[in-house]
Amino acid sequence: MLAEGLNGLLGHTALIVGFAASLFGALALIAAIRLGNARLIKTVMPYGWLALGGAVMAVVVMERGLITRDWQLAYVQRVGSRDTPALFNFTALWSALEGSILLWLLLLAVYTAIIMHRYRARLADPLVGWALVVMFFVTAFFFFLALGPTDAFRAGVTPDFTACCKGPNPLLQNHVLVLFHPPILYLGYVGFTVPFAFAIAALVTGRVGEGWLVETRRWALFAWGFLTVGIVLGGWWSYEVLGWGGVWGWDPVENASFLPWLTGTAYIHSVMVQERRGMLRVWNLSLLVATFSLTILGTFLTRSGVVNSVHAFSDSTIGPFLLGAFGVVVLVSLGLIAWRGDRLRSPGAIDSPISREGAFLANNVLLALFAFVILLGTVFPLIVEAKDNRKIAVGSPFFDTMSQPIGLVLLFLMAVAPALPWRKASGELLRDRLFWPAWCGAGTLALSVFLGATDLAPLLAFTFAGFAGGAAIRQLVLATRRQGYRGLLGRTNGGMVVHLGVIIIAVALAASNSYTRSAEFTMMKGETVSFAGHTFKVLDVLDFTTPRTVGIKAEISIDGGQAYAPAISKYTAFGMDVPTPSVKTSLVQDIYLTLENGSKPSTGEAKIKVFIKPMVVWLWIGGTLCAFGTLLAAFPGKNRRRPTDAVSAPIPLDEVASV
Amino acid sequence: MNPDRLAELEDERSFLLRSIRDIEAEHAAGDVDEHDFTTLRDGYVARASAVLQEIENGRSSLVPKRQQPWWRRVAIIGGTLVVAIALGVFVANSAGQRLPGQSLTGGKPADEVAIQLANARQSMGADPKASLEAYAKVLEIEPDNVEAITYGAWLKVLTGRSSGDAQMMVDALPELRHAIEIDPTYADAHCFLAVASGRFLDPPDAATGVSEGVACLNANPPAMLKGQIEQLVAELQLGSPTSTPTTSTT
Repeated sequence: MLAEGLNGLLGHTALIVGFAASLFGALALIAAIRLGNARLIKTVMPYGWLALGGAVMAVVVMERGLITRDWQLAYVQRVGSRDTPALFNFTALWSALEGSILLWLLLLAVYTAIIMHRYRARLADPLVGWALVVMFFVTAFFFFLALGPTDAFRAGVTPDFTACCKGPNPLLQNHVLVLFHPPILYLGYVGFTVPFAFAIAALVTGRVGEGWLVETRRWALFAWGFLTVGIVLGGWWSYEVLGWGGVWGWDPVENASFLPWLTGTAYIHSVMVQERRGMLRVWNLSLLVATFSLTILGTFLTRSGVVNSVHAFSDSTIGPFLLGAFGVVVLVSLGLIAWRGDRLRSPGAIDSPISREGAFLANNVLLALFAFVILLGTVFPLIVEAKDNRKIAVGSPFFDTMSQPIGLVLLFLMAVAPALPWRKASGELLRDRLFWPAWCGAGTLALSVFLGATDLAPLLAFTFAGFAGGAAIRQLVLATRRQGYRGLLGRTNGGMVVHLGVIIIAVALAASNSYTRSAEFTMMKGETVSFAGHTFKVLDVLDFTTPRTVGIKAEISIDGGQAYAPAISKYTAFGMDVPTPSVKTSLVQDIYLTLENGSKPSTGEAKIKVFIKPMVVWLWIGGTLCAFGTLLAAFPGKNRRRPTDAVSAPIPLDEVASV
Repeated sequence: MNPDRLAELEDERSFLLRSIRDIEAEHAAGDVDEHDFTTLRDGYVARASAVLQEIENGRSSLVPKRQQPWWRRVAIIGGTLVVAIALGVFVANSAGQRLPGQSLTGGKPADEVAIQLANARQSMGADPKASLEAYAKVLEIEPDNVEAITYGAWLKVLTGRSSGDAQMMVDALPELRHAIEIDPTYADAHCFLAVASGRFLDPPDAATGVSEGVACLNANPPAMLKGQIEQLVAELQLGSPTSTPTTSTT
């Protein structure tokens, strides 16, 4: 084992300082709240800044270690190399477990510091105080992980450069999206700590009314937005790097990100029911607890080694701690909810299922069911392995079969819900509000059939998407007519823009999954083949070499035009082949080319696989629209009322009776 | 009462009770004279009393626990159980063998092929029908999968032979030839075609049996097939096939 160098020493010091500051911050706040000691509360701010300083310093020191190739650090030996380009050397920080915990820690410390600064005048308020206590404890837990089970600053053994120091996994040094996808996804995961902390604070203080919801509304929205963008970027990365022509494969890592997204989506809808009607208090708290605990569970699933085998869990250094944290979060939260049960009862009930709150409830039930299905499919192999020592896998067909009907009903609800008023809806009102959206749905169906769409599931998806899109556009048109550009702002209208993004993603997924055509060709240089109305001519098959790779690429002209060059690169340090697809993108379809193993530059033989994938680019457009809509939703719209005022007056009884 | 208001009152109660304790401690230490102590303590006590009364009223005005009809509770619990059990059964039926390097869930389409191939191999001896179905699923995804074509055809040959359905056996032979066309180096297809032609057909097709047997042997067949094929070729060349190979696995 090498002696601890400067970076190791600085890194450990930063982590120890951060851990102590977080722990003392939490304890000082508890004491201050319990004793009502204003002076003690003032001491909390420095603890928060110190914790942030510790996290920033730890990350900076690790980056310094990577950039300066400090081979004394075991982590640098594992993910660093002399040949890795600067960008991927920088992103190597989060290319393995220890570094990704440092990134998580940094973001968590930043969120904690922002909350502390934002509410600096209200630290004596027990709600804010307890929320910060929770955030400090979570931060301290991650400092503990970074210091103990996932110590990134551990000194390594004397490096054997024939075996070590190869750089990050080749898949993580192959595309610029590695710079954006993990940090943005983590911003989403970690962001949900804020509403969770306020939820726990509300339970501890008994202030389980609507006040804490208003405080955390925007935080939940931003966390959800980051998570959404992170997931979409993950799909894009998978599409651009993995070379199988898909964006989503239902693997455990993807599922781990999708689970909190589902419960988070349910929350940002059902929270409106509580704000307007005071209902679903237990449900909203449960959703936040579920969302936060699912981020911990997801980290456990993807970071403990349990994905490879449940038996790897016993060898894992981090797994037991994450599972323990998951258990503590769930038990403490459920205990608090049970303790405050008498204050969480709803003052009213849903008057009619045909109402905005009825639609939100249905949407929540479906999203919760969806989350349960994904969770069940993901942990089922682990349960079977733990019980019977039998290794099984749950394939994509299970997830596809379950997600199709749930997705279709959710699309239908997206069409109907914006048209529904709170409390009750009359038939006449629905006829009026759903008239144009229904025509949009019918028009989309007709257009889809005209363009050659077949099969029930995609046709239903297109129809409901048209219906839902019509409803969202109708809402936006009415709002902008009334308020001009401000009609695009605010939660409801920004939410409609997000709906449009989600609808576009749903249509793109339905089209690309249902109508993808693929073929594999073995062609000689100069040969042309036709497929799906396009011609593909092999212009050349070449070897190439870079400092890190040797590879083969084929230059292929599509329809006699520009040459595209799918390649296979062998990362020589790893002996691992990484495909690099080449894609001709248009608004209608992507022509996705991959080069398969067996291609021979010496003879000019190329084995290529061609995927014709309709509407893929709309996935990224939809994701961008979701991000834009989230920003719009975060800005306050026309300030007509307090957030907790009712938006719809009850329909007069005589009117209801006449329907 | 709004729970937030109730919580505020409880905070105020804590403050007042703490203040009473403090003033009593200060009085005991001689820091507050008797008159001030009485005035201050009475003030705190009066305020605490009012707050406690308000808290009591607030608690009694909290939404009472609603009694749900028993059938509704049963329906919710029953419905949840039914959905959970149905999902459990579905996920169990959707699960397949996990191969080395394969993930717990999902995977690329190619992985689905691997899963179905593993399922087919696993059930080949015990449940040929399930094995055939798994091979059919592979062929839906990869119509040119040589292993699925070969072993699917071989299972048909064996099934046809055991059920006395000669036509089923004959119909499977072109599939073996198709597999050979796709990959002439795949030994198993040559081996099975040799056995089916030279031993199972009535009358035997000795010429095909010999030529495919030789092709099988030249293509480095699995060890468990090699001896049997050598014996078959020798017997066919002598013109007297006698025994039946028993292999039905990879």
